[in-house]
Amino acid sequence: MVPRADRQPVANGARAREWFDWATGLEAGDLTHAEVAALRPRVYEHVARAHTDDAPLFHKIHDAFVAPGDRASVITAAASRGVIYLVRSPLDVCVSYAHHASWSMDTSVATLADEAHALCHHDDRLANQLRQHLSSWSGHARSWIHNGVIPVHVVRYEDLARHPVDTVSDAIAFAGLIRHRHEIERAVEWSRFDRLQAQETETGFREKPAGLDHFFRRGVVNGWRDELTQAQAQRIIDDHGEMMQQLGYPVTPP
Amino acid sequence: MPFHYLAFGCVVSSEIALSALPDTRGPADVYVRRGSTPARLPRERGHGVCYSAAPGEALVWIDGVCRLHVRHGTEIIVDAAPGVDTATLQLFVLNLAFGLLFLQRGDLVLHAAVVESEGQSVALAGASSAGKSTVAAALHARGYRVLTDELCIIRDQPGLGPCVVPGPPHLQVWADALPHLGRDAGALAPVRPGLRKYLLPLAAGYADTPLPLKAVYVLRPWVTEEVAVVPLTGAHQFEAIAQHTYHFEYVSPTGHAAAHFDRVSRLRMVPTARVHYPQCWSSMDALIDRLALGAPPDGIRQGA
Repeated sequence: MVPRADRQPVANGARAREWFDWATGLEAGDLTHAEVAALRPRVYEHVARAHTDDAPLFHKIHDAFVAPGDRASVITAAASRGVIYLVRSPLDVCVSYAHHASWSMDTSVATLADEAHALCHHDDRLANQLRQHLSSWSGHARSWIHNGVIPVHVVRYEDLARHPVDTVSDAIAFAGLIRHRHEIERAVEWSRFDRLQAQETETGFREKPAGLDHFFRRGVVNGWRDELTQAQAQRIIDDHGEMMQQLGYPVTPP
Repeated sequence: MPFHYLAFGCVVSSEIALSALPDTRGPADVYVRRGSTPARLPRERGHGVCYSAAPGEALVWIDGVCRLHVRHGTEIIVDAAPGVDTATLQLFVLNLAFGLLFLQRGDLVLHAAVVESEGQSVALAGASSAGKSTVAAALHARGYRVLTDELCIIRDQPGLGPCVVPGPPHLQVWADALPHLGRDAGALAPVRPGLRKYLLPLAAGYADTPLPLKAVYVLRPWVTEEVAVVPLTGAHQFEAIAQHTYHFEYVSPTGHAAAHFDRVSRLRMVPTARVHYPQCWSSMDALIDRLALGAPPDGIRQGA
């Protein structure tokens, strides 16, 4: 996301709860999920209004733009110049998510098709992040790419992996930033997947779920071929073929 | 006739039932009244999505619940939405409105739970979801007395220096922690309908007198197998205390920045440490061991 900038804390991952509390002056932990969801668009707008710098501020947002059953989008055009939408083939997402959540591939296949799917949705504990309504893989992609009010730049994970410098350069340009190619090459080099793995081994990574050895696992393109059965892959294609085609992913039977 | 309660060393005269507080008598220090509230504060110096702040006062609104006007450290006006229940009003008065009120009274207000340790107090600070209440509840179950949860009010006491004053005699504990504490949600009152966070009465495990602040631990869940205690000194110590001020965003626009700086500075001799710990119940004993609180008082072990 590229809102109109702010020097205030950024709502990325685990800090989202603190950031919400700061912007609202309330405790999210005293509110229901529905009350928090109703306030989040206003929080982004508040941050955008409070910012006087022209440099963009990036928000990392997991949610669908408008999830089924929600009344409003998670962020409004008043709060955002544009969306950099990161997407990955649902076949690889399925495998990655199964390992991340420590559940079976079949559960992961079903979850990717679940329009009610949300992160941190439990109501019996205080998660370090706010509830985030993801919707299905297709529903999520559709909601952002066809949001109709905020310009979108789609970045495919597969393109990042194959042509990282060019892909990042395009995203940076979309965000309105001017950077020399050697700066982008250096950034790409520093964020290589094996470097992230090494950093995690050395110092840990706060978003790693309990019980997992690593957050950064493989990161390879088409790794699903080693782990999904033909039936599982076919079901994913059946569930998401239309959006996969829109995004240039092959939908031929595996 | 208003109710009279004791909270954070003050007598509270309230038109709203705050049944989680102990009853008391005597002239009131603080008034909680029902009434109308302004749309915004005329002298506003800062605002957020749900608040407006001006010197000496703050206005907060929670859609569908209430508006709270907290002013001059003596008065909380509650403008309740139609049909809102008393428990919900109590939650926002006891947490947020009291936090702002004691800031206005010149106290240092930290976001922390506080337990007794060998006749003194130890604050467990941390971000929301860091585990403050849960760790305090685990200590309570092991026989330690608790002074307060959520709001840690630090006030100078003659001859004792900075002391933590006792808050409401309960912890606010989420449902998933209750089985580990030997408690049943069915026997407890939720903090508000629709939220599975419960009021856990402290009973005999309540420390009801101000106690000198002995140490501050900043709880920081981390992806580690071990508990690590990192002492903080100098600017790092100051920053840690300041960062865990309860809703710091209200401090400057309500005109308390200088006083807050002074209050935090006065704690420079209080040992402060950041505690990295794995946030799971199987590590609770290791965490408690590293907090080095000494033995709990005899005879008040709670729950399981």
